[in-house]
Amino acid sequence: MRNSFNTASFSEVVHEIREDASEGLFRYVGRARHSPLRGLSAEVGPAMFGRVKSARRFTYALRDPFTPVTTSDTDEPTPIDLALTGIGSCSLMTLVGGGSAKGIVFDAVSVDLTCDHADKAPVTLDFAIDAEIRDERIDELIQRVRQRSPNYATLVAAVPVHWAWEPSTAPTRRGEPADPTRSRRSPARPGTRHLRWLSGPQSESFAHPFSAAATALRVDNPKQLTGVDWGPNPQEYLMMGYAAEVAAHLGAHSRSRLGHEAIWEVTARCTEDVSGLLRADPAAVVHLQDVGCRVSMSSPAASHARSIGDIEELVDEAVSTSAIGRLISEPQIVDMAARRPASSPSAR
Amino acid sequence: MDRTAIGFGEGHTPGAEWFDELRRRRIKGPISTQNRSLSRSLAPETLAVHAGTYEDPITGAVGTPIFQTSTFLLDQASYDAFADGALRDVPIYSRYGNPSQWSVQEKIAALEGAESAVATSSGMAAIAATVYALTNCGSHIVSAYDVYGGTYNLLREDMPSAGRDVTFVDPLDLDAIRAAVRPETQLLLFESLTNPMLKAPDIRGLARIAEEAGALLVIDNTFLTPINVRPLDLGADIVVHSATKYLGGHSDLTAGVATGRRKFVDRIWAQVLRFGGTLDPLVCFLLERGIKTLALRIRVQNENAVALAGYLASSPYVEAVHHPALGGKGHEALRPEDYRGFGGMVGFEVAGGDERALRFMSHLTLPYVATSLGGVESLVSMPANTSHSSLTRRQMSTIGINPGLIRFSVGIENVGDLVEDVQTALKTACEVEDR
Repeated sequence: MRNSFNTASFSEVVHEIREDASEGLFRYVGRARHSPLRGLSAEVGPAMFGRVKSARRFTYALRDPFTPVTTSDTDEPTPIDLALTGIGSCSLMTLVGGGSAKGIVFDAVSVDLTCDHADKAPVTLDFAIDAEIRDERIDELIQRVRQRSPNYATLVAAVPVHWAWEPSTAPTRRGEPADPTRSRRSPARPGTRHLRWLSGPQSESFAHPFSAAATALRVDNPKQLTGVDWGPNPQEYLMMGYAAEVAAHLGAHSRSRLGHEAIWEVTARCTEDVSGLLRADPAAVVHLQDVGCRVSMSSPAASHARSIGDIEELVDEAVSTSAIGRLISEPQIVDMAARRPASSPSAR
Repeated sequence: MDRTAIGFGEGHTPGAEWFDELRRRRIKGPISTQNRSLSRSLAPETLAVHAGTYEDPITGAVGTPIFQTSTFLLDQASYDAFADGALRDVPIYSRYGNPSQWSVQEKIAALEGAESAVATSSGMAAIAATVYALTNCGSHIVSAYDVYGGTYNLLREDMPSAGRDVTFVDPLDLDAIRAAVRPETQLLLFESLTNPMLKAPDIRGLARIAEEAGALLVIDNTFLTPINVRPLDLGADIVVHSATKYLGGHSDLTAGVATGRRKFVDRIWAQVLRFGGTLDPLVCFLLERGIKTLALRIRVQNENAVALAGYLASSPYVEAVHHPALGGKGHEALRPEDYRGFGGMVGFEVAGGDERALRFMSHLTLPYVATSLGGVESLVSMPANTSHSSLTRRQMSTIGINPGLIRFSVGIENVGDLVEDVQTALKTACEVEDR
């Protein structure tokens, strides 16, 4: 437990937003890079919380979903692991945070997520809630997650996703929002995660089924917003996952489609109006907005590349076939449930 | 409130159903009901005397009492503060807060036109806590290559291992500052008047760059004090001071302060707690008492410095004089309308270099040869063998520290006496001993 010298809680944020709505606009950046030599990696970019910047350094070596798994790298997360961590931790934070605002004391909360990518297969979130509250209150909390969790709301809404390609010698090309009818089956493997809440906005995300020996992805808010910079926040995980999946696709198909290897860099961005989560403005949009990614390529062999059109076609394909992109842009069927852990005291 | 839910449940009241019904909000201060809270629109002379003064309800003492205690009786308000994570506004333990601190903090906040202030055990404690509190590991800071040596050492020697990258630039070159900004730039840290060359950066221009970059602008206002300029009014986000200097004003204490919006100062306060740079109650008393005469002292020091600079500019024994009132290099961007004066510092180069400068100082009979500045007594020193002695000649030349440079902190003595003493010392050092 931390030593409670917090001087900024969501309470102050709510009142600040009511005085100046622009303070409620949070902007996030997730960056990913695919290099023929160094493989796939992701990092967060500087975030803006209203007018305050938070520039933290979190970098992850990722397992490339397009590369066969070897025994040595199975502990590294994949892009879908990052994305599910973002969705699960946002739901967890909404449930615990909102419940705490109602005065509920939680002993432990965890959530298991699955995402199969198969057509019509639901995304599932199964919460285990250890708190001395009646079952009706648990149902209320689950309902609030459905209504107020920004990443959950993004999952079930149709959120436009834009992309832009930045060739080094030509003007930036902008893509239209991804067209769901053009989507193909994602090559990404199914994702499963187990997340457990620790304290305040902090949680840990593990491969599922849970093993205490597994490396955890740490989730936290920045110190500018109630956290202590222990890890990226939920929206940053989602953006990193999205950027990484697009970068992985580009890396996997670069040689076959363009005739040469390349270093691909993808920057995914989104805006969250936190007034939606906090209900500071009842009319505020809850889901993420202005979601998009910007792609750039560098290669010693770039001069031998095929036409710009070939590159744009590859980028368009990478964006439109991204399973994580589809989680954002297409409304998903989500099964959400809650149970008490076996050790929990009976409801009162 | 359950402390594991930190950040979520503060401000909870019975019946609250969601975040929007939480009641805790930022208030100015901290101050108690006994501290005088005055409108920031009052003149600085008035604020310096009255703002923050603790009006003791038992004795009616006119002066602020010294709360020389490390701890306070716990009561329900204390327990509520613990439970709600709001320890800054309740007297619990002097490292968290003490009415002596609140008194001087409120006085300085009022003078700088700020919501809140936190007093620290030195100027460097204030700067270090501010830099750490307002930046993250992975961020970038822009500062001046001729910033105060203590600040430079912090930025140069501690920031890399703390994950903060720093770019040092000419504080007068706004284009260079803009070019140094990166996406992860979080802080611009400059001085309202630099040490020892007395350059006056364009604070409004710096504020524009900071705003465009989404960064915060921190101004060290030690040399000018809020009597001469209020950087927050010009767009800065945080003002820091070595209160050891002009604010204290009597060369008898070591203290610092950071002031600005409570949103930021609360974070600096929490950092001060963790670093342990709390200001002792007795020193708080000395500082608060000293500030009561700040406006008077600064007015005299402004005038004395201009008079001394004028004399030095006409002296055949002086190569160059650095003072904003004289204009010239380093002061092109200065907007006179933003300043009420330029403080008591004068820089000048004794013709003949360091040896003559040393001789000159040894012949002075009124000023003390000592480091520090801002006291009622005049102090002189040479940057080349004190504050900037770790620099090479070439580095010194780059920032304008030429041979023979003297830093003169003008006190409140009679300026005629000071000028006469300087005149005699220069003549003795440059003529008599050269024979």
